[in-house]
Amino acid sequence: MTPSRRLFFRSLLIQALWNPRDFQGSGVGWALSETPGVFNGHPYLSGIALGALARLRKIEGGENGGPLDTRFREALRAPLGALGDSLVWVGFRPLALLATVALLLLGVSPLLALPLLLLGFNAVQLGLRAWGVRIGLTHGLNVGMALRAGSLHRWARGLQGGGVVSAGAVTGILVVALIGAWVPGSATEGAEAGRLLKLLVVPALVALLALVAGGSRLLRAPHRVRQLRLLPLVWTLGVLGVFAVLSIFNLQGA
Amino acid sequence: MITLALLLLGGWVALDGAAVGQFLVSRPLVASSMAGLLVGAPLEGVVVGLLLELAHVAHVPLGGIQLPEPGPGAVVAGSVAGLVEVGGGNGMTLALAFVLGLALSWLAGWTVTWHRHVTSARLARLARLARDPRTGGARLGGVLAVTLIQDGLRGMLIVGLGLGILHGMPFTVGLGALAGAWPLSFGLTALVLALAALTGVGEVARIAEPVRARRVVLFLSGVGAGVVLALSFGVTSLLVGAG
Repeated sequence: MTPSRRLFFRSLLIQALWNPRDFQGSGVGWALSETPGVFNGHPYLSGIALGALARLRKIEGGENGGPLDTRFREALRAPLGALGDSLVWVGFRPLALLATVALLLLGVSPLLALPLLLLGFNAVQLGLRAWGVRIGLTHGLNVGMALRAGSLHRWARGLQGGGVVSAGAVTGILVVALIGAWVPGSATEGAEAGRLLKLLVVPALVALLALVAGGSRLLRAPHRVRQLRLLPLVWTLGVLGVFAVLSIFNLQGA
Repeated sequence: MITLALLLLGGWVALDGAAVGQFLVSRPLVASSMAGLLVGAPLEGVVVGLLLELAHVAHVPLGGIQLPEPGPGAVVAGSVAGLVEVGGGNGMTLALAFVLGLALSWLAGWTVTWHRHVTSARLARLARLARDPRTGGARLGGVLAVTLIQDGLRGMLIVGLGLGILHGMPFTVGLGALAGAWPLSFGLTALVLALAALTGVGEVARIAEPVRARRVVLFLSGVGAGVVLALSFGVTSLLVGAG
């Protein structure tokens, strides 16, 4: 197996040894068959680091754990992490997932939509890994310049914009579905519309009260992002809790 | 046999979440659909997966923070869809699947943190034992294998726990009666849950576009496009076929 292929396949397991002590460092150490050092970056762009470090060892004389190696790792960490986060975690992945959700909501068969998601997403992520190994091995210490010269930042911006549009599209489709459910005589759920409206008022109020009671504590927490992530959970549990209570009352009545 | 397949799927999605490839198999949309397919309720599995995906889509692993791990929980949630006959086809089983999927994803998130601390301790022990840099990579291979097995077993355990809750408790016996009293149909329950999960979708917009004015324009453009598409495709309910 050629070195680039070996690095490519090993990059698939680079997060397997992720730990709070050296982050991806042990994964990189395993991939390069050397003693681990501290390193972190985005898994899909890990090929860049692996290729560059491999070249550093063989051609540019950077000894594992030496000053050049340490400086290079530190210099590579932040840009690779930031680029990968904006390109994939915040850009491509939500876009791909929400676009697939939109397709499913529009009635596209899951047998078509889900394979399309998996094939499309993995073609891109595996391509990124292979490309990363190639430019890492080609540019070595200068890989940062090659990254800046490339168009990945522009792609990241475009993908993030696409993610926002697809989030809006999913919202729009659900709003139409909601209106469809409320309109009396609509194809499927019209008969239940009034009942749902009455039922929703009580759980929504209870969920709101739960949010006010528990939310004031959440809002004082240091990480605002985490609080926002709790909101759907609190809201849903509030709604479902009241539905469950109503169901039990209905059950007893029956 | 199906239980074994679900357990193995749980192990696979736990590995896919971070350790092996991150091929998206661990996303709720995919994992739940696969579980639904295994238990013979593919469409219900897709609906549960879709709802869990909306709830989790904004969870972005920035800076290695602890997040819920949705994969194993989605496997259990998708398999709940197989109980749709018990639920008489109404929304009770869907609500149960959604809540169980969310709860297990939080539990799984904590076990990921535990798993990583165990890995850290194992690597620290290895570093003390093996000072010879030439053998570092080879020894790491052994630790890697053990860590992968541990991670896979972790996923299987969470799925096993979820299936145990589902099938091993007297609660399941009363499920049919409770489902009979559930006030909403499958489609309307899905819609209520989707609206709750939309807060996650809104957060995607907030994270992806920091400039407020641009975010609003892009989001509203998407809403407009979604409305036009929904009307063109005749969407009048959420996944009507699933009911």
